[in-house]
Amino acid sequence: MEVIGLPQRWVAKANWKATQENFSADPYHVQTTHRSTVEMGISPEDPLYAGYGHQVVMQNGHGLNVITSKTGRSRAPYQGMPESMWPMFQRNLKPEQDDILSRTTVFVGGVYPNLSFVSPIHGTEGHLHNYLNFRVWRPLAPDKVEVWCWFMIDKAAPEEYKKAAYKGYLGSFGVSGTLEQDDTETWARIVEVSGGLMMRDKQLNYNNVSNYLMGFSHVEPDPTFAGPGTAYPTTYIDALSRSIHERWLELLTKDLIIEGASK
Amino acid sequence: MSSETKTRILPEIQIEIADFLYREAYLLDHRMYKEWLDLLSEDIVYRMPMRETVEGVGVDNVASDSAFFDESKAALTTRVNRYYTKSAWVENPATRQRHFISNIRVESGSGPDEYKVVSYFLYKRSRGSHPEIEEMLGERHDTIKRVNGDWKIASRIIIPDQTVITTMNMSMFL
Ligand SMILES: [Fe+2]
Repeated sequence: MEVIGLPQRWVAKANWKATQENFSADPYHVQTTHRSTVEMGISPEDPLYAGYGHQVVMQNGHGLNVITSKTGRSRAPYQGMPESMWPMFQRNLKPEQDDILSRTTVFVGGVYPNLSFVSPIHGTEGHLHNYLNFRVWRPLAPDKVEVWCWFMIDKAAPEEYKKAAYKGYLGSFGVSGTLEQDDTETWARIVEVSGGLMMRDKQLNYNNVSNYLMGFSHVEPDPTFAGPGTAYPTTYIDALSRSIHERWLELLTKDLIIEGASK
Repeated sequence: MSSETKTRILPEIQIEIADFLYREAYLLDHRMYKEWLDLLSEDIVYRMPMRETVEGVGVDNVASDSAFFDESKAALTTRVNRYYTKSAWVENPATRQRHFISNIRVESGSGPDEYKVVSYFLYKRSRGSHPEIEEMLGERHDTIKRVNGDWKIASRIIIPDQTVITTMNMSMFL
């Protein structure tokens, strides 16, 4: 991978846990937050379109979503990377890794606590390109995050492809990206609602402040998934969100809870 | 040729171009984005490079390899069309915005009806019922030409003065 240019930096109205969760664990928001792409005819009408594939829960709040499509295959093989590069992917990957890469439309996930990544397919000029976007959420206050947003691309990609992919990136993610613009609205609303009196009166547990119970009782891990971690056969599930918040609580209460102290 | 004799721009042209830029700002502020697109030439180059903090005297601090915008007319049209959908939440409910355009300087360009125009911008917006006003400032380097009697923006390079953007997103055109 090659980093191109400087990171975009901007101050968003957001709590870092919400932005981390947004990218790590929440393909479910795509159908509503990014509804405009459906209206524009860029994304499918099927409301489950971002839900096909696997959500992979790793240890310590890390994880990602491997989003395929309704057919189980990518809408563009190898995320629309040039066909000339496919033999290289096949050479460098194990057959089961190659199988996942060739079938995936979007990878999106996070490394706890505040590094997220997304590898989508996008373009605002009718041609779709793939890239990898890393972002660090730098907390400035409970309601303020400075975002550092990097563009990365496979070193071996042709120069022309890199340039077009960079434009696709500017059109989708980063402070001026059409997808990210709408994400920033959700982050801001969460911060604003959290300040309300009714929110202050709530207890901090599942199904109270937020639900976090999607898939909780009935979605079993898929034992056939070739990669590491615990893989659930849908990305519309709160498994990774819960893992993130449980890790946060574990770290926050590490030295506070003393065994037997209340007895 | 000295710089004084090179560019003697007629006052009428200066007034026309300033008026054109104010009209553009009016269209943007009033969310008449489709009308705004008509002011751009079909082959427009619309770029907003990043600004960086560089140590040293007289060094260039406009990044050449990274940007906030790098748009063709097709890409700008996609962005504009999105604002006419029902679910572009960033502009629904709508932003209340002002483009203050000033310090306009006009020089002759490479053709008879073509001018190089520098202007300053101060962009401010108010959103929802929030007391904070968001802002951005910088300058624009345009190539403006007359095509079949109408002024068109053939190229625009937007140079922001901020390295860290303080609007929570960039849904605006500058
Ligand atoms: Fe999103």
